[in-house]
Amino acid sequence: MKPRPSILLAVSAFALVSCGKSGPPARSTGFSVALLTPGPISDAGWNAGAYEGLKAIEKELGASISHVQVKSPSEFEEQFRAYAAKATRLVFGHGFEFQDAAARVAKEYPSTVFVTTSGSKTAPNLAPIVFELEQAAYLCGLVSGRMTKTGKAGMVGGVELPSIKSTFLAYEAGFVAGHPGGTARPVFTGSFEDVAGAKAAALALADQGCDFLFQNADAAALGVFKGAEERKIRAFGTNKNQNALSPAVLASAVIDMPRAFVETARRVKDGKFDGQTLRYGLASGVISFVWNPAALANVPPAVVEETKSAEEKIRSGAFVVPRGNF
Amino acid sequence: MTQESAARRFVVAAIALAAAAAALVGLTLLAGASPIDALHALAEGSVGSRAALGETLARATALVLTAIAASLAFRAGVLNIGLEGQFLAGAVAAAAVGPLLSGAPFVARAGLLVASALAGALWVLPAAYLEARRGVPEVLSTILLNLIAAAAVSGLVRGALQDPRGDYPQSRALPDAVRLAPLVSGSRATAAIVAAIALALLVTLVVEATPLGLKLRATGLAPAAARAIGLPGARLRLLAFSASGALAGLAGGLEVLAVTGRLYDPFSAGAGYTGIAAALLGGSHPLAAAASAMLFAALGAGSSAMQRDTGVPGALATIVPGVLVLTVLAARARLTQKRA
Repeated sequence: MKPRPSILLAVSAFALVSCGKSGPPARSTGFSVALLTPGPISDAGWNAGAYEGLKAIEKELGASISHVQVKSPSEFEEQFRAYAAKATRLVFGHGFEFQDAAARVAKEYPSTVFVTTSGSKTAPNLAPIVFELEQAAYLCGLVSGRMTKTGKAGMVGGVELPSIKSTFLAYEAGFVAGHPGGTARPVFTGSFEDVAGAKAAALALADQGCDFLFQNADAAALGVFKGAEERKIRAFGTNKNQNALSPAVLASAVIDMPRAFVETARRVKDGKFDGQTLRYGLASGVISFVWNPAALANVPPAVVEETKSAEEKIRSGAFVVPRGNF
Repeated sequence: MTQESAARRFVVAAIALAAAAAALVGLTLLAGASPIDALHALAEGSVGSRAALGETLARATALVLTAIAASLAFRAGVLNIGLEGQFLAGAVAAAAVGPLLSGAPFVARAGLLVASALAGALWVLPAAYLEARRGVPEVLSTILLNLIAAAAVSGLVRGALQDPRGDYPQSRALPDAVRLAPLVSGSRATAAIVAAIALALLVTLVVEATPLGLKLRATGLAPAAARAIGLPGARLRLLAFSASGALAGLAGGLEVLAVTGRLYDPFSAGAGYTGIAAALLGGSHPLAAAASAMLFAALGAGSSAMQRDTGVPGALATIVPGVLVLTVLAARARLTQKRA
């Protein structure tokens, strides 16, 4: 039997021809902002935070907004180009992985600003957002240093990444500042999801005499909190406000992602974007140190006061928190 | 996976496209957007401009190759569901050897693509061995190999293949000189799509018009009869299986070479699975499968535009290809019943 060319070939060819002559795409007017997320915005986490930021930009800055979920790395460049071609003023790529594609497209569309959430590449119209969580981690360390009885603190991390180690460096600096001669020990479980492993690490640290635990372990943080509850020691929340998750949480080092998006968009709208890395710390309000109201009664008022004045020094730039070089 | 008459194909395709269009209109209404705007964005974003057409072609490269890979295997009676894994194996090979290759870009590209095709072919071997020696159905083993490949990618970009510069789970970037440049400026289509179409023609020629192709098809259609006339069934199956894997591996290599420049995790949005759907839609005829792959690529690019311009969630638009394939299969089954 002789094969025949598929009718589908003809149909798609017809579609090609008939659609080729529609008019030029509508140009957006005014301030337009777009967001590329690597996952669904219903994830109640990384992507949801970015979309919340985009909605806030619409509301606070009166921007016209658009969002697209990118399904694989092969689409990064396509989506950036599509938005830039429509003269979108600002396009966010929500993750380090968008850097390469953003850098390529940024060269061709100088009037569109490209911002990646984390990363290091910069250009006149390209910059990454960097969250200075270290500033709040330092305050956590300072509090633990002032309150520790044993002079020992533990730090539980997921995967041993430079960004995680950087927050540990800051926590340790704070701890030693609050308790000269104190030691802070890091443990990496190798996973951001392994709750049981994080709990085991927390228990081991407690058994070595640590009476405060800092963590940067994402979902596995729950294990650290459970371990701290069992040994009746204190722990800290990170990234999100985790104060309600456990009575063992003394305070949280919080990133307000939507706020970073709004601040960035405002800078672009006001013509103040200069292609420099967008660093957001305590001063911008994007990073904050939040006491757990349920645990605050156990904190000496002098420690609360000292934390407040240290925070002021960091905000004003009088004190620079150490961070990893990565 | 048998041949169909042109008239029957036309009926099936018409029913399927009508059902897909109806599904699209229904879904946009459900999402509270105007179907006219959505359809306009779909057309505009897939074929409405040189840039859009370029995106469709850039997406199509991997899909065309996996679609012909699937067709080739299916026609020889091998249910290779492992194209996704073989695609990833090819991408891993490209990311592993790409940054190491020096010399002229042409030589580096050739080396990278050979490594990708080999990796794809090698990734079918465990499944082929288990099927031939232990009677493990290849449907099962190839699906499991897909999962292993995805996990391996995830591990490698955080381990052996991680870019030493920086903190990110991604492999080292290919040198710009090695990466394929766009054929025309303002579009993202590269020579990769030309290579994919050429391979589609070649595979069609081999499968449909050579003695080897006849033997492959005979083995697929009636294994017992093929054995009875002395055809080496096991060897022919292995040949089709590994050639299919090599094509999928090549697709992965070209994706790195032409589109992404590195390995990421996750790397694929299911190129291997979409290839299977395209092969089913094209009745396992390599050329029809390649055309279906183009259609899927256009739908993919168009649905992104729909999401950008009208706010229709991208997930809704991805239902459309599913409706297409299901309708085709149902219509085909119904027509076959009528005949019987």
